Order: sequence, then structure tokens, then C-alpha cells
Amino acid sequence: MENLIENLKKQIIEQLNLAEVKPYDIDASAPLFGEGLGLDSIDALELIVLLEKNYGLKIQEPKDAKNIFQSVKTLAEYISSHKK
Amino acid sequence: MSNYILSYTKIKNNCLWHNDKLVSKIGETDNFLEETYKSLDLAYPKFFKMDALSKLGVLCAEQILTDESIRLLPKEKIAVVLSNKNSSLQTDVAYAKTMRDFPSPSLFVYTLPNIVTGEIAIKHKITGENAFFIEPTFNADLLHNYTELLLQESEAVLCGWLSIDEKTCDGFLYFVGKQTESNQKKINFIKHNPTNITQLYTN
Repeated sequence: MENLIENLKKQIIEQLNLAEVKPYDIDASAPLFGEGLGLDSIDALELIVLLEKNYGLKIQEPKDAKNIFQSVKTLAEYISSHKK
Repeated sequence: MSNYILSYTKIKNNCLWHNDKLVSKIGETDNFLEETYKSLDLAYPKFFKMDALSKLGVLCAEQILTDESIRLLPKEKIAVVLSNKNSSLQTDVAYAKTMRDFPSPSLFVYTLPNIVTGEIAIKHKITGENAFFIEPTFNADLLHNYTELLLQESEAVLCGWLSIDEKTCDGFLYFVGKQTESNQKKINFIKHNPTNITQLYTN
């Protein structure tokens, strides 16, 4: 899980063009939206692309997205439990 | 009352100029816009998410809109009128390439030329009129006439030409307004007319 979280941090920085953010700046438990990294709605779409491109995962129920994208940790838990 | 060009910026040949003063010069690089951003110490992380056209516009506008006498103008009375030749073509092509596998949402939102007017307006909280014209070449007459019309209702207009492709980066923004108590001490007021606009662009 720790490796997955570290990889996710790097992938998020690259996918979302967070040029001034380093992996160690990201608190895995901090909210991704609103506070924390302060991501916006376009970033949410990019995270959906990241999930599909890098892990072959599609979120089937849109209402689940809010919990999945709560933090890097919740995203890692979703990937870990759904990756084939 | 006459209108004047109060301030202007140019980005060309890896240099950023503000009112004929060299602000930043970057050597040969593939990341001129990003390097210029860093040299200006702007602290605006959203910059890195923008397409090249928006980055060019934001860098040019920053020098003008942070000037003390301009910064204090009512934001709802400032208009933005921009133009170029290639619309958002560079970003359109980049987005089209992503459509082969995973279309990029963050590129898609920049596939319109007037997004740069929005990015400048958001950064500086400008809420006046805005327009973006596609012209074969820099058209001082069009910009002048449209700006003069807008100045019947607006107090000032940010105008110019923002053109970018893989090889060249050509940005020229100028700020047109009225002579006021707060800015009258500034020197080098330039009368707003097509001849002066063209001269500033080509010099």
C-alpha cells in the first residue's frame, strides 16, 4: 500500500501538471479537493482518466466518486481492492 | 476626452518588455514561458495547468495590471479585447492527439481562443466586456475602433495580439484608458490611435 500511495502521488503530480508540488508535499490523508491540494472539477476528470489509463479501472457508480477521491489514501484503497 | 495607451508589454525573441524596459530575458530553452514565470516569481500555481496561449497572455497582462495606477481601477469597468491569427490551434492539435486513447479534459477546456481572456480576468478579478478576434495579421484599426466603442461605457481596455505556435511566441498587450489624477504623473502618455498602436507593436 505504501508503494502504491507513493506512485499515486507522482502520477497525480504529472497528470494534473502540479509543477510546483513534490510528492513529499502531499499528505496522503488530506482532502484532494477544496483544501489540501485544492483541486478543481477538471482535475477530477483527469483523475478519472488516470484511474482508467494507469490501472484499467472505471468508476461504475458516479455517486461513489466523492468517497474514492477523498484523498490519496482512499484512492489507493479503491485501486487496491478493485485492481484485477 | 482623448484616450491614451497607459502601459504596454511585449514578449518576443525570449524577452519580456514592459514600456520599453527589459523585464526578463531567457536564453535558448524549450520552456520559455515557464522559465519567464519563474523569473517573475509570480506564485500562481494554476499557471502550469494553462495552455501556452493562456500562459503568454497571463505573463503579458501581469506587468500591466499590477501597476499601482491601473490596479486601483474598478474591475467591472475594465474590458479585454484580444486577437491573433491561429486561434487556439496549437492546443486543438494537442487535444486531437489525446483523442487516440484518452481524451484530456484539461486540454479540452483550452480549445477556444477566448479562454485566455478568462484566465486574465480570473487572475485580476476583471468583470468587464471581453472579445477575441481572429485576424490574418495584427489589425490595429480593428482593435482601435472596437476599443473606442467600449470606452463609451468602460473606463479602460486591455488590448492586444497573442500569437503562439511551436516556433514563435509573439505577445503584445497594451492598456488604454483616460488621463486621471492618479495616473497623470506618469510620463510618456501615448495617444490611442492606429498609427501609435502599430508603431508600438512593430518596434
